[in-house]
Parts: sequence; C-alpha cells; structure tokens
Amino acid sequence: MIEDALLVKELVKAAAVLGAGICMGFGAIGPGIGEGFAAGKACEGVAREPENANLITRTMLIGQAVSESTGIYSLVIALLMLFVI
Amino acid sequence: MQIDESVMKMATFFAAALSMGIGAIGSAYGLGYASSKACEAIARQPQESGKIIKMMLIGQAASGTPSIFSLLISFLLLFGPAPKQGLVQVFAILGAGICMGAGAVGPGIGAGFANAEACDGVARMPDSETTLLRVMLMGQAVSQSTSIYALVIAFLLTIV
Amino acid sequence: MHISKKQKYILAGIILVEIIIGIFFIKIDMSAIAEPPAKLKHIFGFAIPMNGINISTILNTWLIMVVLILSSWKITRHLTPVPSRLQVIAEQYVSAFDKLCEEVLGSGKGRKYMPMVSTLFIFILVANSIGAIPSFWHIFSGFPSWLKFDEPTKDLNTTLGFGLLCFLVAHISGIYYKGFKKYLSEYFEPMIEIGRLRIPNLFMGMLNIVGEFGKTISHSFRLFGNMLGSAIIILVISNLTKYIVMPVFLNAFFGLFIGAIQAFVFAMLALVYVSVMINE
Repeated sequence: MIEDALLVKELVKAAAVLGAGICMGFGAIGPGIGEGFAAGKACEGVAREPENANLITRTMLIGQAVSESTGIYSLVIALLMLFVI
Repeated sequence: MQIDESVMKMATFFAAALSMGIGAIGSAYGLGYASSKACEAIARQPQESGKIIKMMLIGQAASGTPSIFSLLISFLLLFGPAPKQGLVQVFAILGAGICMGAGAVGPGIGAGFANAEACDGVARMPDSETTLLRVMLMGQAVSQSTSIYALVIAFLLTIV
Repeated sequence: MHISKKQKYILAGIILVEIIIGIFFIKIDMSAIAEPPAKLKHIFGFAIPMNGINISTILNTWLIMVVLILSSWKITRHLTPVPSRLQVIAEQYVSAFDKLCEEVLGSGKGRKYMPMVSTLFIFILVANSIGAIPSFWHIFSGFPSWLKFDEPTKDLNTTLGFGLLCFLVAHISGIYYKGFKKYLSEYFEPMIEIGRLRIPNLFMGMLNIVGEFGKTISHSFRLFGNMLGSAIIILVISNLTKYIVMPVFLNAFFGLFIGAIQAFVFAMLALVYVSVMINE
C-alpha cells in the first residue's frame, strides 16, 4: 500500500514536470507570432510615415505587452506546476 | 520506481532531438521569409541593395536567436551534467525538450515577419533606415520574450 | 584587403600549429557548463547574507566601471576646440544619444534621461564583449578559477538589477509627470460608463499589471539568456572543435555582434518604457 502511494506521488510529479514543459512550449507559440506580426506592421507604418515613428513604437509596445500576457500566464502555470505540485 | 541508465540516455537523446528539431522550424521559416522579402525589395530598388542587405542580416541575427536557444538546450542535454536517475527526471528531460522546441517556433516566425517588413520599408524609404532599424530591433526583442520564458523553464526542468 | 604571400604562409603555419596542438594536447572538458560560480561567503569573519556574493561578477563589474570612469575622466580633462581622436568619439557618442533621447521623449525631457540610457548602453556593451579578451591563467593550478574575464551580464543578478532600475525609473517618472491619480487610473482604462458613473475596468487592470511585471522579467531575462546562451555555445563548440580557429569567429559573432545588438536593445527598451509611462 505504501509503495503504491509513493508510486502515485512520483507519477503525479512526473506528469507535472512534463506538463510544465508542454505548457510553456506551446504557450510561447502564439504570443511569438502575434508580437512579431505587430512589429512587422509597425515597421511598415514607420516606412510610410517616418515622422510618427515614436507614436507607432509606443502603440506597438503597448499592443505587444497585452498580447504577451498569455505567454506570461503560461509561464506562471509552468512555474506553479514545477514548484507547487 | 527504478529507472535504468539506458532509459535516461534514451530520454536525453530524444529530448535533444525534439528541442533542436522542432525549434528549427520557426526560425528557418522566419529567416527564409525575410530573405524572400529582401529579394523582392532589391528587385524593386536595386540601387539600395546595400542598405537592404544590411537590414536583412542584422534582423536575421536577431530572429535566429530562438533557434540558438534550442541549440543551447540540446547541447546542455547532450553534454551537460548527467541527471539523477528517476521517473520524474525522465519526464523532466522530455518536458525540457518539448518546451524549448515548441517555444522557439512562434518567436522565430514573428521576428522573421518584422525583419521582412523592415526590409520592405527600407526599399520604400531609404532615408529613414536608422529609425526602421530601431523599431525592428525593439519589436523583435519584445516578440522574443516568450522564447526566453521557454528557455528559463527548460533550464529549470533540466536541473530538477 | 590585400594579403601578401608571406602573410598567407604565416597564417597557414599558425593554423597548422593550432591543429597539431588541438589534436594531440587538448582534451574535451565540458565540466565548466555545470560548474557553479565561485562565491565569497565570509568577509572578515562575518557571514554574508543571501548565500554569498559571486566573486567573478563583482570583480568584472568593478573592472569595467574603473575602465569606463577613468577613460571618460581622461577624455574630458582637456577639451580642445580642435578635438583629439578620443574626444571626437566621445562627442559623437554623446550627441548621438542626445539626439535619440530628444527624438523619443520630446525636447527638454530627453536630456534628463540621456545619461542613464547612454551609461547603460556603454556598460552593457563592454560587459558583453569582455569575454572575447583571452584569459587563460585560470587553467593553471595555483590560480583561482574565478580570476578570468567573464561577462557580468551572464549573471542574473546584474541583469535583474538593471531591469529593476529601469522599472523604478519608468514608474517614478510616470507618477512625477502625470500625478498619482492619473497614473493609477490609466491601468483601468477603458472605463465602463453607466450613465455618468465611470467604473474602473478590473479585467484590463489585471492584464496591465501582469504586463508591467512581464516587461521587467522579459527585459532582464533577455540579456541574461542571450549572454548565458552564447557563453555556453562558445564553450561547447570550441571544445568539440578542440579550439582550432573556431573560437575567434564564435567570439566575434556571439560576443561582439550579438552583444552589441542586445546592449542597444536593452538601452532602447529602457528609454521606450520611460516614454510609454510619461506620455499620454
């Protein structure tokens, strides 16, 4: 009985570390593409109106910060799975 | 649970392959996309080819960073310190490989997209080259932060 | 560039000697990947809190600081109307950053932040490329292992310190220029309006606060990850090729080129985070 309980505990920990890896890995895909898209469009905008470069950069950074939040949620969940479970 | 040494070795090799194999997809796509746009831009403005190529190379150095992180995790798994033996460690190594591999895909594609638009922009407005370079580097740097989170988690997983 | 026949022979000779030394004398040794940094835990009998200090990081940081302070002191002592070579470099550097900051923050405000941004840039630039200076004396027995040129930015403590500095500067200037109430209310925009009542949008507030922490984390981990990654890749590839020819190019690419790009990115992001905070 005791060995079974230990095995279950080990299995849970194993699944948690694998899950942390999968969580952060796949969670990083979306924000990466999305923020790159924003950066690309910002470059296009700067090429069209160089005098508004600073406004465009600020808008780009704010948008990227919002789209980054999903990546940070993945990071938080991965850290929780690593250290709490 | 008792885990054989050969099982640990198998897990390490498999994870190293996953990390570099999946991680190369995104960066390669981004680099290729950027160079295709640069070719298009040079075809339109052959006299600005020097500036366009410079922009392309600097941007590609930045958008290749996620795949360099994948390479780093593969190296660490292959040549780094041998992990302890155990069921948790097997899954942690596999998790590190998947984490860095998949985590490098998105930022690679995104940074390549920014690089491509910057090359296009240089062809359209060669005078605002420095501004474009600045905006491109900043955008790429921010879009790579998720790959850095993946790198941190993968580091933590390799030392569990 | 023209290379004479004699220079070609010399180059070929050097490479041949390197190959012979590499094949016969150099063993592959990758223990440095896993080696924890040397730490100073006691000083004059007192224990240092927080698990000691990292000696190599501290020494290299102070070395870079001394070099930068002395050289800038030396350059600015004798300013002449007809500038010397060093003075031209310094003037170009300062005026380029002055122009950049004025452009991003608006005239007047930009000059206040120029010293911080330009100092961050030059410190990180030198710190990232210091690993390219060959230092071999730590491999002899009798010399401590921490006595080598090592990037201080490879240590998370350095980069996290810079990240927190930029975070504090940006937020305090935000409060200074906009007032505390406006600064706080910007987190909860767009407000939900019911009639004349304006209720703070808690969902957006949560997103914004998480985003602020994410900015600082990614700002400091970007530099750290890049520099640690390049250091390990240089070590592994140099070992696999037995230090034949490759380390020069690896150091040039990862240390100087990537290091310069990362230093510029770090300084620019610090500037832009301030500009996001102080502008409407």
